Amino acid sequence: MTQSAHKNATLAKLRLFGILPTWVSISLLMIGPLLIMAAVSLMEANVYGGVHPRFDVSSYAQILFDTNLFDEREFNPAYLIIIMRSFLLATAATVLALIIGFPAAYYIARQPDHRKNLLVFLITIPFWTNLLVRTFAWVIILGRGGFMDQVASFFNLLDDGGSINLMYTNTAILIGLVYSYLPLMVLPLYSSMEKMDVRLLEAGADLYANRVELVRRIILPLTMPGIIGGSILVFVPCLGAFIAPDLLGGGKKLMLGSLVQLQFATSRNWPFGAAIAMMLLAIVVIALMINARAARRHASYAQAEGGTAHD
Amino acid sequence: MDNKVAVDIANVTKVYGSGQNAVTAIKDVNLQIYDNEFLTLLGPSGCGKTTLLRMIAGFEGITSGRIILFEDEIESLPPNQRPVNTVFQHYALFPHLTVYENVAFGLRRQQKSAAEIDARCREVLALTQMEALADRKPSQMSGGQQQRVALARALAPTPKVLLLDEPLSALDLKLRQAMREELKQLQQKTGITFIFVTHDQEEALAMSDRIAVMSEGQVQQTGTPETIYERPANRFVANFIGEANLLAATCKKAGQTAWFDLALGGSLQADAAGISVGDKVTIMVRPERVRVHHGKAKAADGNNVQLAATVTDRMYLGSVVHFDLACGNQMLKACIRSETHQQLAPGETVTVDIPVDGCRIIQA
Repeated sequence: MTQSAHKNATLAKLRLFGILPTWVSISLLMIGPLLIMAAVSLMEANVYGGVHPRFDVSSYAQILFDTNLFDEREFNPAYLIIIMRSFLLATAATVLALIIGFPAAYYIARQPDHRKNLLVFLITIPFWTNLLVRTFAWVIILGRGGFMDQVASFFNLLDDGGSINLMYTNTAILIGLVYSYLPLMVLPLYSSMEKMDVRLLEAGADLYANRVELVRRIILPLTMPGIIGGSILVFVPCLGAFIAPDLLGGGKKLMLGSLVQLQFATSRNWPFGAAIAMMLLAIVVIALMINARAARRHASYAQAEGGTAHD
Repeated sequence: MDNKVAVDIANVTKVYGSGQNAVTAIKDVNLQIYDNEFLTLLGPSGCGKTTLLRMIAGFEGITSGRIILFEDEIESLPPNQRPVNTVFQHYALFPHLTVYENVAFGLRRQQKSAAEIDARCREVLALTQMEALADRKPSQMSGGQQQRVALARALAPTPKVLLLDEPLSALDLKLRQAMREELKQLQQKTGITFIFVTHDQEEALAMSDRIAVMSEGQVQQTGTPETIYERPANRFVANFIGEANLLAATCKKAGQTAWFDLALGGSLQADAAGISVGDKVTIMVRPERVRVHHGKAKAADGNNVQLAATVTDRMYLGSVVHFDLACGNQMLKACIRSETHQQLAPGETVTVDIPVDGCRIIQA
């Protein structure tokens, strides 16, 4: 071994030592809680909250099966329905956010620089206020005698004392979810649209593409990373949302997030709550892996600077 | 080149903004571009040449006037309904599509049959010598190759007119010179009318059938490269194309061949109709027409004007030598072939010999 190689090895060790604080904080603050959660999900519940440190997988079984009076396992669809509802609502919210967010992001990306920055700033404003407060505003808008009812009665669409009564429905939850997470869709879409060269649209129009074809053949493929990124940013928190289902669904239409919250706070069944959370985590990891694959595929779209020819 | 008009630009004006902020980009331009012609719009940046091109392509609306493409008025059509195609300055190739798909893009939008698309793609890729790279993405190619793909893509739908927006400006000098040759040949081979925008006069002179020199939103002169260089219509064209010595003069005898007194001294006789006695004119003489020698200035004999001058600077450029000469209160430029030039050093007093047949009268 030459002296310089030896020196390099020492340097590498030193560098590893240098990032030690990062490793410690990541393990303590991120991996640690996850491990605790995983451990809790595999333990026996204590009726008053907390756990008995005994290995038990029944919490995972509880997601699909119930134990009846005769100590037999039987299929219980209640939680499966909640899982399905979560998926449907999260998917619908993602699709709606994409439909609303796509033109909005396109509009912002086409503005002059100073207005662009202002509009992006405006998009982020809702994050300054507590989500609970903002969701509660929807209760006032959608509820009996609320803003929606007033608009409807102004146009004589309601009988006296009638109400559109959207509250405590899946629709109300959906509205709340789309509202809460729309900015998370717009921002990545905006960032990929802003990177897109406008001249490509001129080139497309020059080559006889109409508006629809411009969107389909040029804008959509080139903003795919933003579409995928935004969809994950909306889909993942929607799956785990509990404020919108609680306030707008009236706690009757549970979603996975509300279920977790319920298990920890009200039912005091920590292992079951942890098991659902772990399942949620698995779903998110799968979604992120799909995203990473798609992003790799689209990396080749990026116009590499100084691409060299080798012919 | 026959005389059928491909593009007729009639009284076209373009105003940006309104009221006090209104900026006139194009002022009442009239220009006829003939079928199967290589026409260059030449001018400094901001002269409106790119705006004019973009108006033909349909990316810019026009404030007033008409644009007629082979008898069809096109000024109100959107770009995708105009049978013209553009080679963009920075190529604007679709980064997510292969070379082949880039070239096929226009044909696919025209709903051509698969066999037709494939045949035409191979044809234009062969024409631009890019068939070997058909499966590459634009990011995997050099600037010169991207340039060829951009050309192939614009030629594929067989446009009635091909618009080229400074397509060579991003290439290095050697490649640029090679592409000039190739573009000219491509125009002749395809028989498509080319409208080429550039600020590079050498490029314009080398390639064009005709050049339209533009400045401040107006066409200053339209003509063959020889006409533009030898007989510039005004001071702007004289100064913009090549180098020019501009001499102030006054007409002292009018007629078919008029006599002019130069402000620097001496007088000369030149063909000039429509000029009356006392009119102030500008006389242009190209530096390569100017001769410089030792010895005394002789009186004007009608064929030459001889003036005393002092050499202020000498620049040896290999094939030619450039001289700056102080003559009275004016600086003159002379460009002399190396093998004929005498050893003239800065500070020497010399005689500048201006042949009358090298002079052009520019009115006003």
